[in-house]
Amino acid sequence: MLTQKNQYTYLRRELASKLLKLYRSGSLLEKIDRIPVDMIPKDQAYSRCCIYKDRAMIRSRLLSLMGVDLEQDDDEVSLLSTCAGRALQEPIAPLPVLTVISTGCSSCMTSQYRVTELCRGCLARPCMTNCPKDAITFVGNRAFIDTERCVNCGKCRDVCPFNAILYIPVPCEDVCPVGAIRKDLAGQVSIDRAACIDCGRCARACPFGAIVERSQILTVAGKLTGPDHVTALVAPSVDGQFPGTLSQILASISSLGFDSVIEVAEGAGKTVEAESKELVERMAQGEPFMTTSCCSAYLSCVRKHIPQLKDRVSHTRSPMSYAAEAARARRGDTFTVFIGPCIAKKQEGAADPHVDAVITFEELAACFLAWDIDVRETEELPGEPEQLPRGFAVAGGVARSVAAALPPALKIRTEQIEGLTKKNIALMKSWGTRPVDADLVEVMCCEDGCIGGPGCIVDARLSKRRF
Amino acid sequence: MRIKETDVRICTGTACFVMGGADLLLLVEELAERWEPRGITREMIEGCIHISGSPCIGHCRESGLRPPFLTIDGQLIGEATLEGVLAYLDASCLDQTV
Repeated sequence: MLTQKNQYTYLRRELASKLLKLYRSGSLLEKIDRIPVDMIPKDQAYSRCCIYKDRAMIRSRLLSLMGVDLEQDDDEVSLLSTCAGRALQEPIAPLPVLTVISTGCSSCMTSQYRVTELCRGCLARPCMTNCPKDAITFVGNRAFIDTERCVNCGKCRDVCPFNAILYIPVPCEDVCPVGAIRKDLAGQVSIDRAACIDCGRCARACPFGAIVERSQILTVAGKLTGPDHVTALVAPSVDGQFPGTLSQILASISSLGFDSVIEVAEGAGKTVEAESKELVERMAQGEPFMTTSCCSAYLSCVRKHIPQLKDRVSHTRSPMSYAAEAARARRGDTFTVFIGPCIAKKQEGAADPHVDAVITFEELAACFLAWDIDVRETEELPGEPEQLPRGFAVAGGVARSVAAALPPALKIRTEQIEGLTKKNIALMKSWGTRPVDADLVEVMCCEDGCIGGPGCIVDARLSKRRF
Repeated sequence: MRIKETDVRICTGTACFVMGGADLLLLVEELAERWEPRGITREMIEGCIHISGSPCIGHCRESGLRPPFLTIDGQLIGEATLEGVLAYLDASCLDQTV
């Protein structure tokens, strides 16, 4: 996976905050058409073929930040101000979550191993000896890979003493665990919606930023500055995503204009209660094992790719779902905004009648920048923070919470799937016939758990310290 | 090996933090890893390199530079990267003559 310490990450954050700054200052419609030109001025060195393409990319990114489905609803002609006007008048339906900037795609063709000119045609030729598919021949004293035979195992690269063999990846395809990335004959990317689980890995792996998540920040900003009652549902992984204490972060969210700020960890309490009860019942009925159900990407994955696990997934609802329901019970007309590290939650939120919008920590950061809120300088909320199950945010945390809530006499075996990788999905498929040797399996789509989610700001090595 | 006493202040204003400043907070870990082969322990580093977070120093608004910002012994560095800071400290803090 591409490191998130890169120029595209900062560009994404800068654009989101620019958009919101204009909105807040009341000059969005008047000034938004200038953003691509201001960001890519005439005399600037361009990164693609010319400044006009760079500007077009900025335009597409701004559209995705306004929630536009670029594949369906961008006519390529409308001015940004026209689109912004439309988006402000009527919120755009948020699904599908991921959309492709087709002209941004660099058309990487196929992942492959390639022999470079560093090959010296040595006597030992370990590449040839170790290739399991006899795909390597020598032509003119240099190794040559027959792509028809090659299965991309990489053994030739590993054994070459001159590092002469390179792997040329297609980043989006390589990180997609479910084969949802499609390429047409020209190499242009598209997403197979029937297979996609909205994990968001492709959107973070593409070095050209050609796959983007659609945002609801403009809708949320509209609600925050309007008369409606707005509730923030904040995921526990927020701790450590900004400088300052958890209390300061929650206070900062409140000062954006949220009338009520609820920690989703409150909902996690209900999830723990229901899930531990369910586990006891299932074990009493002699069921082989149960998996957790709080990760939306995992639920989509089971639905679309691992049907054999359908009956093994807990029926307990996610912390977000319980927290949103509780918010509505407190006030029926509140507009609920889930704020988390997750792209898949945008899909879960769209299907949940109690969740009105979903934004990521990165999008929250853009709000802080636009509202000029310095988290570390914000006064803490009054009183001590409540004791809540916030450990859900890190891998292992859900299983630990559920195990701790069981009757003391009941000892269970837990297993952990940390990261929905191709390998882990294959492993879970095998559990259909050979059940895993565990009672409870915690499944998290992201490595490190939610703190490793695509909407996070901080490296998980750092945020882990908070849990 | 001697380490020069150095004062590092990392801006923890939201803008700096979001635009890459968060990574700077891994400075001690990275220094410890980098200087370990020279026999420098983390304790020695913490004794000499004083790293602290500073409230927003306002440079993101005033100077022409971009965040994240930090100061090393009072000298302002904009668009700071962890790698850049490590290289700077290598050159300025380690007494190469010993």
